Amino acid sequence: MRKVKIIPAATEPGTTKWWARKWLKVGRPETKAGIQKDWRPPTVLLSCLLFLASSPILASAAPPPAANDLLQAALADPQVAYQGRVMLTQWYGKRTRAEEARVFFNPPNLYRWEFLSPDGQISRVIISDGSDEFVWLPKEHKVLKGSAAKSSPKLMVPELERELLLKNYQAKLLGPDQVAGRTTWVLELAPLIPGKPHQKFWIDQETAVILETKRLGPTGARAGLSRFARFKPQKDMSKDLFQVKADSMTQVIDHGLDPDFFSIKELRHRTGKSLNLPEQLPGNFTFESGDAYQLNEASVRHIRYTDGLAVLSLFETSRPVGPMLDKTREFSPLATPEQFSSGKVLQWKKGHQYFTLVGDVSDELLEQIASELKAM
Amino acid sequence: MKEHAEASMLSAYLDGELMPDERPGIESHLALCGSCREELETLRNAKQVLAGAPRREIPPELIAKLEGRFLRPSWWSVFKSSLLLPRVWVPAGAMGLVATLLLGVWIGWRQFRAPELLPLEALLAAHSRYVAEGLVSHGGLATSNFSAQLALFHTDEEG
Amino acid sequence: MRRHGDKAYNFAYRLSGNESDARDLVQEAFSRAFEHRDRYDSSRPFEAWLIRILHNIYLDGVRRYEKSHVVSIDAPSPIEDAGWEEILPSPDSEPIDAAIQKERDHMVQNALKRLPVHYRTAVTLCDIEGLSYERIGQVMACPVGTVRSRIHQGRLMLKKTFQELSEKRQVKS
Repeated sequence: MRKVKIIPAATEPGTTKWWARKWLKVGRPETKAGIQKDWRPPTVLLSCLLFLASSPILASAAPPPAANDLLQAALADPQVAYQGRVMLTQWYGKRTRAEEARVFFNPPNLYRWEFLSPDGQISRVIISDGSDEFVWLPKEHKVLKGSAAKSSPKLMVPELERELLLKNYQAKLLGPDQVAGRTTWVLELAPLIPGKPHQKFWIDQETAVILETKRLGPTGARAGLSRFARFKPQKDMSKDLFQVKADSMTQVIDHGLDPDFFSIKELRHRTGKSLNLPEQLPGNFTFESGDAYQLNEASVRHIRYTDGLAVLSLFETSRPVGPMLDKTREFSPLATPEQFSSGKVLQWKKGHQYFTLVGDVSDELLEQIASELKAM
Repeated sequence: MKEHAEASMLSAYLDGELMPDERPGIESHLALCGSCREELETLRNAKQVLAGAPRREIPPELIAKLEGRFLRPSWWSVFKSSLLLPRVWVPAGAMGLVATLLLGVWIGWRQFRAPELLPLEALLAAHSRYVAEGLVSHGGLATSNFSAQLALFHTDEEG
Repeated sequence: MRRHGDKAYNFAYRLSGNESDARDLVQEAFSRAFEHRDRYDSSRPFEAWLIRILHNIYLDGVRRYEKSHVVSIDAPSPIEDAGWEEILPSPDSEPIDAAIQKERDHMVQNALKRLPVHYRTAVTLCDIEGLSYERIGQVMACPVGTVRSRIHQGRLMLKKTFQELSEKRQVKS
C-alpha cells in the first residue's frame, strides 16, 4: 500500500505535534523520454476548424463552428507547441490568490510552468516530461516527484466522461473575442442543474488552444480565472526545457499523491474493508474511481465522483482532518461548508471513521450530497 | 461486454492482475471477439519472448567482492554475540525490563492523548491533483493549486 | 546474497544493456542499501527494496548510460531466416543451442533498448523478474494504474520492434 508522509517543514507549535522529517533520497533528478499517449485527437475535426480559420477570406465571413464541435476540439490536447505568460486568479470565500506564470508546452504532453512571486523570482516550477511531473522548489532545494497528469488512463473512458459533460452542461458558443492579441471563439458550459459551477473558454481560432478559462461559482460569483497575457505558438521547443536542472544539493521526494484509478470492488478487495458507496449522488454525480493509501500512518480512502466537469472528492480517514497550516484557527470539524482554494469542504464523523467532502458546488447541494452519504 | 475491452485490460488479464469480478467480463468478450483474441496472443508472444530470454548470472568476482564488503562481521554482530555471555546478559535483562515498563507507560499515555490531526491541505492537494486529470481543462488552476499546496509543506518561510 | 545478486544483476543488465554498467549498478545498489539499512522496512521484501534503489540509481544516471550505448539493429544474426516467432520458446522446448540463446538474448536486449526507460523498467520487472503490479508500483513509485498502462504500452512497442526486426531479416535473405 502506498505510504505518504506530509509534514510541514516549519517546526512550529500548533494544535498538534510536529516532528522532524527523516526524509529521503538525495540525488540528481532524472530525465526521461516522453511517452506516446492513448488519446487520439479528433484530427479530422481539427483540420476542418483550421481550414475554416486559416483562409483570410473565409475567416471574416466564416460561419462559427457548432458549439459541440468546438468543445470537442478544445478538449483535445493541444497539437501545437507554444510559450506564453499566464495570469491566474482564484477567489474563495473572502480571499483571493493571484499568480503569474511563464508557460512552455510541447505536444503531446510536455509542459513547464514557472510560477513567479511578486518580486519576479521563480517560486516554483512544474515540469512534465510526459510521464513524470516534477514540482521543483529551487529556493528549498527540493523536487517533489509524481506521475504526469493524464499519463495513465482513468477508470472512466473519455467518451463516457464527455457524454456526462454534455448531459449535465449545455455548451453554447457566445461569439468571437480577442485574448492576448489573438482571435478566439468564446464557449460557455452552463450547468443544467442549479448549484454547479459555470465555465467559459476562449479558444484560439488558429490553434484551438484554450487561451482563457473563467470559472464562476454556483451563485455566479467569480471563482477562478486563467488568462494568457502573451501567447506564441512555436515550431518546436528544446527538450531541455522539460527537464529539471537542479544542483546536486537538491533532494528528490516522491510526493505519493498521484491518483490510482480503482473501482469500488477493487478498493474493497485491496483494503479488505467494507465500503458502501452509491454509484450516483445528487446533482447527477457519477462514481469515477477511488484509491487508498496511508497518510502519516493513518489510512485514507479517496473516492471521486464526477459530472463531466465538476469533481467531488470524498475522503474517509481513520483520524480526524483539519487545516494545519492556518495557525490562526483552532481545530474544529467543518460541520458547515467552508470554502478553500481547492473547493468547498464539509466534514462529519461516523463511528470510528472521519469523512471529508470536497467539491465546488453550492452549500445546499453539498449538504444534500453529505446527507445521502451519511445515510449509507 | 459488447464493446472492446479497454486495451490495457488485456495485458492485465494476461498477467493475472485483473480483479476476480473483472475477469468474467473479459473472458466472455474474448469468446466472442476475434480481434481482441489476436491482440491477446500478440501480447502473450511478447511476454513469452521476454520471459524466455536467458538470465544473466552475477559474475563470481562481483559476488566475492560484495560478500567481502558487506558480510564482514560488523560491530552489531559482534555486540550481539557478546550479549550471550552471562555477565553482559544479566544487567542487560534488568535494563530490558525497565525499558519495557517505560514503553508500556508511554504507549498508555499515547492512547489517552487526542488523536493526531491529518492535514486537510494534503487532502485538498490530492483533490486538486485529481481535478488535473479531468477531461475539461482548468487552464492551469488545478496545477497551480496542487503545487501551491505541496509547496506549503516544504517551505520553511512564514506564510 | 547470491540469489539477490542474480536478480539484481539480471535486472541491471536488462535496464542498462551491457555487463559493465550492470556491474557498476549492482555494486552501487548494494552499497547504498547497506548505507541506508536503517531505513529498510523489514515488513517488505528485501529484493524489492534493493531493486528500487537500483532503479533510482539508474534513473539518476540515465543520460550517461544511454548516450554511450548506441543500439545497432543491423548486427548480423547467426540464424538468417528465422522470423521472431521461431525464436519463441515452445512449451516443450529441449535444451537449446547456444547460438539460438545468444540470438534471443541479443534480440530481446535490442528491443528493450528502444523502449523509453519507464516502459523498459515496467516490462522487465513484470515479464523478466515476475513482480506483481503492486510491487512494481512500489519500485517505480507510481500508481498501479500507471504500471498497467506502462506494461501494456511497452508490450505494444516491443511487438512492433520484433516485427521490424523479423522483416529486416527477411529482406536480407
